[in-house]
Amino acid sequence: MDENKTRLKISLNSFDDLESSRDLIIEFCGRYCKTSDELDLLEMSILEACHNAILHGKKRENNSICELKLLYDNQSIKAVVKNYGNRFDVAEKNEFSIEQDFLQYKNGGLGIPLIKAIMDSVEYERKSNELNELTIIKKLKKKQ
Amino acid sequence: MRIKESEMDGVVVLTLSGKMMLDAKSISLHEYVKNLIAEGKTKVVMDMGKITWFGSTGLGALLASYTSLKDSGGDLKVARATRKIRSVFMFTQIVKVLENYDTVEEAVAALK
Amino acid sequence: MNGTSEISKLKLAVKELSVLNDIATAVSTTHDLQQVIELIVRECVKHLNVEQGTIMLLDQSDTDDKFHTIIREVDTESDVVPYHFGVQLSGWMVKNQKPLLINDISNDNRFTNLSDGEFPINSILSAPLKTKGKLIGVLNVFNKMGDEGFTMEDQRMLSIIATQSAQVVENARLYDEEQALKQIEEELKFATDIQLNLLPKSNPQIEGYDIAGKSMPAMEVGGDYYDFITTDESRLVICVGDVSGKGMPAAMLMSNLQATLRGQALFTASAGECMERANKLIYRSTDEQKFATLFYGIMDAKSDSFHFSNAGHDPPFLIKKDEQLIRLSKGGTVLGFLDDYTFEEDSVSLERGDTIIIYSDGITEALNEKDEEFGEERLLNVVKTGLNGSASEIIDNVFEAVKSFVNDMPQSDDITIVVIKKS
Repeated sequence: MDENKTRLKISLNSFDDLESSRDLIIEFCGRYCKTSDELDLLEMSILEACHNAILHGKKRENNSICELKLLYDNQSIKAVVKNYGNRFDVAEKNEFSIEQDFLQYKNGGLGIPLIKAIMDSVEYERKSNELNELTIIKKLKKKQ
Repeated sequence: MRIKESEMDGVVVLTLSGKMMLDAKSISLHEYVKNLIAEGKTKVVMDMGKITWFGSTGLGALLASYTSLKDSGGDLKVARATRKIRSVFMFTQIVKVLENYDTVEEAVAALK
Repeated sequence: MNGTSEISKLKLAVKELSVLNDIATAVSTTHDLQQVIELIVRECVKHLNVEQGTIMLLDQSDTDDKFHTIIREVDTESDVVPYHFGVQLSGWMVKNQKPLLINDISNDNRFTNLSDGEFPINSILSAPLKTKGKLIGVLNVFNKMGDEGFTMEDQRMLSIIATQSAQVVENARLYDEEQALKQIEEELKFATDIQLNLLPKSNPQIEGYDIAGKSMPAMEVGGDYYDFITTDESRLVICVGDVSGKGMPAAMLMSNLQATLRGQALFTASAGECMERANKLIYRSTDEQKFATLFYGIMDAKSDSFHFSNAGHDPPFLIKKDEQLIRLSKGGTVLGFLDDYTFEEDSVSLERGDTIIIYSDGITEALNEKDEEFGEERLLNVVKTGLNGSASEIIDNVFEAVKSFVNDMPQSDDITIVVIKKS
């Protein structure tokens, strides 16, 4: 299998960029997802993560506000979202559950819980120089 | 996102179109609904057929609106949710509280 | 025989009249719906010699048989009539719309589960409350004292009371509704006045520039705001924004926002910083989350530059003299959404013939009968066509165009526009 085809890197500087890249992201994930549900939820998590990164990201010289890397490996799709800006803590955020009080989320904040619910693993690393790196992985369903 | 308000059989129908993101209208959807409640309108149907982007902001707004309407003795139903939106509803089990109907008419009828 | 029955009839008539008179006197003292109902029930209980009485009102917005129930207790400390009984009773009344008399309810299979409740019901007499042919409620009395039970006389009496009371009750209810509506209207009007008073009363004068602004509020004020703040002889701050919500809370927010911006404008030359402070203010100001879009620009007539930050507002157009179009979008998300948010800022330099159009979405989202939006393209076209006119003229052109586009459709949102021309 062609190494290049299993990776994708996108630079995002605005929500418009994200909107334009949506098709690319869907096309990439669509190659490996088995069901439309799986694809829809994966798309949502990735867009959600990028959305947050652009919203909170700061422009740094030659870097884009947000960088998205998608990789397919070992039946899993991994998305690495990088941005410069304030740190955020994924560990603190609650799991998503239908029982909770949604009035607390009316202004946002549902993003991370949602991503955590959909993806199999969500890891955040704060690197030097104010760089945030969020890595989310989803193991895809096997062919029926 | 755009919100267009109309009425059908005593039920408020909000036709939503565009992206439910961080624009002013999406963020103030819950407030819009609270204004409706203050006017005594507690039965609402949200027509989501023309929503092209639905993320956590939209979900939060929908659920907060649902909570407020229920607390006021009313209810919220969704109509024409796209496949992507329905995936999220199913996955988060929100489908248990927020019902989606194929047409606005059916959603309105369910509220009467 | 005839004589006695004549006298009895007369006695009855006098009694009926005096009861009606008592009721009329009692209810004339008040408009209040609750009091009117209680008075009527109290009189019924007294004159008909029963344990309890109730009036159930038909919920106006619901055509199902959901009734609004008020109970008056007299002799006994009883609890509310069991809900399901009320439903059965009102259901019967909706169907039959005539008096109901039952002296031994346990043997009547139309109504079930009555004597086991907190308030054992043995006998019942009900009469419909109708006005202009429409059923608006039911008048009930329960458990006739003494051995006789309810009589036809009682039924007649209750019916007469019901007939007279129906209109009184309906009037009280309408009065209630009217008062509530009036209060809402007054509050909205007050809030509207406040908001309108915050807007500039005249256009600013600054050397080398032609600047004008205009706002037209919709029926129910939508929250558009714009301001001109002169910070020194050659610098002018221009703000255009949209505050969410209606009524007093929105008016107060707008007031606070304006005060903050006016204060900030004098102390900082950074648009981004101003936004940050305004954002914090709005985020922390109320428990009920409120938001505002805002475009904040600093016009420097000495250096011919326009330095700005845009928080969630429709990006203004800069139409260069060579017709090149630049959108002024740098900034961030709407004010009040996130605590501690950093807003970006940018600058453009202005040359002769350049025009800046700052507008609110009431213009681009104005709808005609075909549900079409006025849109950005139309706005640009109108502006470009009259580009050589003065700022005021351009504004009038836009307002005219929107007016003829929407035709008779009601204006649903405030329309605001500010035009800056470098001459």
